[in-house]
Amino acid sequence: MSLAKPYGVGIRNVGSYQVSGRPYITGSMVEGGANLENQLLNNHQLKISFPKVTKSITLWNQSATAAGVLNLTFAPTGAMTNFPTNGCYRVIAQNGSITMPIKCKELYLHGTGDPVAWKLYAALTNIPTGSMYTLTGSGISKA
Amino acid sequence: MSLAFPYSIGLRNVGSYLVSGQPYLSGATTTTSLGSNVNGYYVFPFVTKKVTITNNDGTNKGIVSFAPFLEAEVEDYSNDFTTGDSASGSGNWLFLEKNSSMELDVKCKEIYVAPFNAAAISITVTAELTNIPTGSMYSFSALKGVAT
Repeated sequence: MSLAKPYGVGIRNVGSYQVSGRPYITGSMVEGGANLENQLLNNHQLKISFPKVTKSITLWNQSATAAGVLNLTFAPTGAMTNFPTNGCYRVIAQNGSITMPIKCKELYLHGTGDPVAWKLYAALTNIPTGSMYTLTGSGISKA
Repeated sequence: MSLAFPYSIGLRNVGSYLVSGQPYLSGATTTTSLGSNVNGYYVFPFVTKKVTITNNDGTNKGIVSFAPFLEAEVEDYSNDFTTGDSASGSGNWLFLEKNSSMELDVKCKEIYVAPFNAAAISITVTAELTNIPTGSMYSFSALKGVAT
């Protein structure tokens, strides 16, 4: 370690991901299970921006009906090539969840069918989002 | 490593999280008041590396948060939180389904559990603790994703 390049958190610093994360929780429901404006209506899309780079995320679909389907992407669907046939999304059915140990600074939720109620938990690193590159290309926005 | 900064445990010390944790076992039956953290407030003696919360109730859901849930109860708990810092209105809480566990890879010094309905639920909390003093842990007050 040199004085010119002091050891610190960073996108390529292993230790930044090995320490336990700090919690980040958001969702469409508040006290009593009432829905906020964050509830996803059919074909609506919501961008979630994290205050720090993530080390893992968990997303739940808490919809009241099976027709409320939640889709997760890491790019806006409108900017994708051949969405949804490109397969660059994950479907979370009613009462389902997905956990992904990934680094990102933002993600997109897209609802189809009935209104979608959802919850999101993320473990955050201490890495500033400015250090994170924009996710695009194969596996993100095109097949 | 220098004499001025000896290697030691700390919030940003990776090794503090890599060694196996000290066990923490607790649990209680919550109040019957919807969203109340009475009997659902867990203060850890050291900073955690992982927390597992289990809802032992076979009928009712629970609520997990890192800030007091109800605005009226904020001042009864950690000094870190003040009026306006509740998790309820901000949506910064998670469902804990009936008969299920939730494992969170998280560093924190306290956690809040409440019933989602007006029915008491039996909760157990298991944590892996680091040896990092809780005084080293920053406050979650007004932190985005926790209380705002």
